[in-house]
Amino acid sequence: MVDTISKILSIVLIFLMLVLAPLLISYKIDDAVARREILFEVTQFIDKVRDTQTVSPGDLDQLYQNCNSHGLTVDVRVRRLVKTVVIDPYPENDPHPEIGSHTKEVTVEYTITDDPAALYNFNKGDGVQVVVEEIGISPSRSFMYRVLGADSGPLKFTLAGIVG
Amino acid sequence: MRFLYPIAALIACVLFFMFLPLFANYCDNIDMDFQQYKLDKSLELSVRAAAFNGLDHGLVSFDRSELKEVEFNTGVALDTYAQFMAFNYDMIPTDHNKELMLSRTVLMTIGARGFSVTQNEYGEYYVAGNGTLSRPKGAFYRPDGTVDRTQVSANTGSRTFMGTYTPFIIKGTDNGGREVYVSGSLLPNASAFTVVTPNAGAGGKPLVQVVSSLPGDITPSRVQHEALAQMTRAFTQAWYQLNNKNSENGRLTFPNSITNLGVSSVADPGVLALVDGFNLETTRPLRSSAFTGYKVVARREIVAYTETSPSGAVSHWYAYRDQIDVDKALAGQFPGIQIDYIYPDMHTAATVEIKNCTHHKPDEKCTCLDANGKPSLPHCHYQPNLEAIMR
Repeated sequence: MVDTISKILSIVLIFLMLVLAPLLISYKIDDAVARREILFEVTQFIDKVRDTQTVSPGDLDQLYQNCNSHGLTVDVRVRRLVKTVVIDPYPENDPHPEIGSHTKEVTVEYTITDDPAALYNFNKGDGVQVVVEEIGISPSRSFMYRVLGADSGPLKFTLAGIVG
Repeated sequence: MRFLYPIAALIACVLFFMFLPLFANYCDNIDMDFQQYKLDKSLELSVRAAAFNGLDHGLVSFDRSELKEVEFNTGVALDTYAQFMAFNYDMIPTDHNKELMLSRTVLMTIGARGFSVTQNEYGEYYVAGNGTLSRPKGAFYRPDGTVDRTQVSANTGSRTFMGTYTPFIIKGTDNGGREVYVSGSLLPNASAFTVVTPNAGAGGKPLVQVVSSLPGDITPSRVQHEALAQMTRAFTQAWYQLNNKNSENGRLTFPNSITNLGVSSVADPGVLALVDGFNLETTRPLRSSAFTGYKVVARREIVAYTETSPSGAVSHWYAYRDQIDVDKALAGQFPGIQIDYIYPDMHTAATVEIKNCTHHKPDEKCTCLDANGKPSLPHCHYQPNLEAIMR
């Protein structure tokens, strides 16, 4: 009886350690590389927009294609952060009235626009935000993430940079 | 022999359970690696945005051709940094979220003549948008004639030399052996300095002068050395204050790369940010650092010109501006050369269609001729001629 159990246990362990573990590790490496490459694509895109100050439909297609060519299926959204500046030359609460500094009060705010038409022409100082979200996660990966904890879960990150 | 099987299985079991935590650690490391890279990139982009906006809305208007007098609006720089960090982590930049980002950061703006650590001594940050973020623009001497090194110099002449920064004040002696305080500059080519000589003015007041070269025993290298020391001191102090405030992480330390190279090995204006204990998306706190600045470099502009050969063939070229004496060409001293336009870069010059191209027919696209009178590609665009030298 003990003999049989130990034999079965040995077979299970051999399978786990010699087959499953290398597979898992190889999968983790592939996954990590894919994630990093997608991040790299997005960084490159932001750098490009920073120089060109415009996002054409061609650029967007290229970004979608590049992000989806690393083994993960991701949904990519590009948003424009519209910069607004309010300058109050004579602020109510002058911080140093005793010397009459009359310091201008400058407020810079960014508003998110999801409108794709806003992407054609950025103003200097606007921001561009890219949201990447993984879609279509297989049940096995979901199981690995939720039960085993061996998977990092769906890829989701945001990067934003200034234009100009 | 039979009893060996259970022993072997037991050993295998032990090995298996030994590898489990190793594997978990490995998975965690891979995730952390990604998040670290993400933080590095986010910080880089945010600091870049901070530098851009801080410069754009500087308290003193700045001339791009003369960056040596640049100053940052530290409030805008800090606020932009916080907003972009929030955007980088998919948050709405509310006051709470901005505070969340800033509570793990020390940000320093460095101008040519001074610097500002944007967190004050109480561990809070200055209210964004408020122009006077540091000390008031007052004289940096007291009424009794003594000099207060912790205050900022007044507007001493045609422009404000030091705005809201802590200036680099260097103490030395002038050629006459008197004690002087000089506001130095990090830039080696600075050409104006404020010099304060205590008790040398009328009625025993300090004498404030603007001079074109450093006086007495004060040399540019000494200014640089002391300026860096002042910055390092201020930055370290801000770091320790953040350390006291940050109870969650317990202890903040300088990253190795920074302690080895020195915190402030900078010689140009810019924004320096250091983040520690950043644990928004990870199990362990992360750290990162970034430095961004703006610098003026001479741009090689592109001249687009039309050349008419003696035989009458018209060709359109572009060349670097420094290859052609543009003033002479505009005065018509090069026969057959007409300057059409000056473009900022080669890409623009190559994509612009030639106006009034003599060989261009709208219904027939491929009709532009090159210098030899043959059709060329791309049509009706300027062609590169980077071998032309016209002086």
